[in-house]
Amino acid sequence: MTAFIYEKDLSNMKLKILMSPFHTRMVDEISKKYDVSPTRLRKILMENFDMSYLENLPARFNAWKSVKCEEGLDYAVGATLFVDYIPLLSEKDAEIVIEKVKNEIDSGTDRDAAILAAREEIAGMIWR
Amino acid sequence: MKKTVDVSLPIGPVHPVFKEPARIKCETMGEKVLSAEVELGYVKKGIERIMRDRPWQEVMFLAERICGICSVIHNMVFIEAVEKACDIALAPRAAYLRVIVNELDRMQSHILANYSYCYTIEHETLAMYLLNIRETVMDQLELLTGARVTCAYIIPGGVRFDIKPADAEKLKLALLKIESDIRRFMGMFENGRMIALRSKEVGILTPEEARIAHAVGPTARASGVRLDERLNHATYKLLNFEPVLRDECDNYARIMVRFQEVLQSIALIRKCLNEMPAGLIRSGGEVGAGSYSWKGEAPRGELTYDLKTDEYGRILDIAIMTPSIMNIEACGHYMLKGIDSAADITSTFISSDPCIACNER
Repeated sequence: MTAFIYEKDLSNMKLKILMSPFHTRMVDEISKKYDVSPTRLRKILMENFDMSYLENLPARFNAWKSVKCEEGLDYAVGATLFVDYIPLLSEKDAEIVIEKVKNEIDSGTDRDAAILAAREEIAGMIWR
Repeated sequence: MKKTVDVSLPIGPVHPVFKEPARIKCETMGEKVLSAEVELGYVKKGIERIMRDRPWQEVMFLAERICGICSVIHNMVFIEAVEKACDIALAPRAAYLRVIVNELDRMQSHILANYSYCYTIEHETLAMYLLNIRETVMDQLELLTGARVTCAYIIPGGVRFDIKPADAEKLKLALLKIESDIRRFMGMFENGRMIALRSKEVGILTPEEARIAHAVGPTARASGVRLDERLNHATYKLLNFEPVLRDECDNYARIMVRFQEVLQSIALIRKCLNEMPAGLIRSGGEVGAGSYSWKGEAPRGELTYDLKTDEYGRILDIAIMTPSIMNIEACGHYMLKGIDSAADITSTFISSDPCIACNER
């Protein structure tokens, strides 16, 4: 967005939004899954999203969980979570990760190990 | 020739068509909106924090004060969550009375939302007609609960007051008047050429976008998404409730869904009055330790209360997710994007029935 001349710093309000009980649960879940500290995750979210988006993140997260539950691999890796629902990743990057993990599983790598590696890769892309 | 320039267009926080403060920041090319975001935080209440460590009797009144328009559903969902957390049975007659009051609340909220929309598109005649008929609905709420807005009608195990036979007759008569007026106003809206120009194919929210942003209530149902918490509610199941759906996905559909839902609410109230069993309106029970997450269908959509109580009935922890959170986000990021006229920004925003008080809980 083009800068507004009277724009004030919204970081404090954004942080307050992210400290609500539903947000805290979501942040804890994602940070555990992707092995990143909650503080770092909050910072990334604050930098990338506006206030209404931040308010709606738990609902988006739950929407993703309810839709993607059946698609085992995608749910486990969570690539599309960060493309459509909490867009921190490009579609192309997500496709590469999913393709890679599928190939690894096909070539005989342990499924859990491949998923863990894919999650690390996603975390690296987002938090680099 | 006038040069087309890119303009950052801020609307609000104080604006004649906004009932509450919010700022929409649009990036436009000429009049076309390229992107938009909604800035909130002007009236943050921190009510979840205020509720913590207070007895449920106090929190019940606080819950109603989250929203000044749909206060009944906050009362209802909070009490139902407490009932489920503490295994308190509900008196069968009270279940029907709750639906009657809840549907009256939905009617007045929908009529107010449609009033706001008509006012925004400068159809003030229809707007004032709607505001007038809303008063009749508010009178019915007052007749049943003794108050217009913060009714505190629903309590654990039942409701505060029963409906007297004379009041039931008054309610039936009022419903006849409201139904005939709403049908007339709906016809005016449906057939208004200027209304169509301002409403049809404006503020599109596709079903896929609605699902991703988890849009709820009439905003989602106007995009064909079958999402209504009343489908999961025991009393509504007894009434064979089916949600109103439309597939136009635009401002017009959202307003029409509300009109249709007002008529549906009238039918539900009539059914309740006819099928309501006789008996007590309170079943008793005690609020103790427990925890539960419960959802209800507010006029604007899915309302969630997640709470934990201690053995004395104090609220140890509470989390509230209001429907406007999802709808405002869906509006800011999908509905406003691509609008061809700056004049349609406010009307599209209002068509999603944004409640800033709910959002800033």
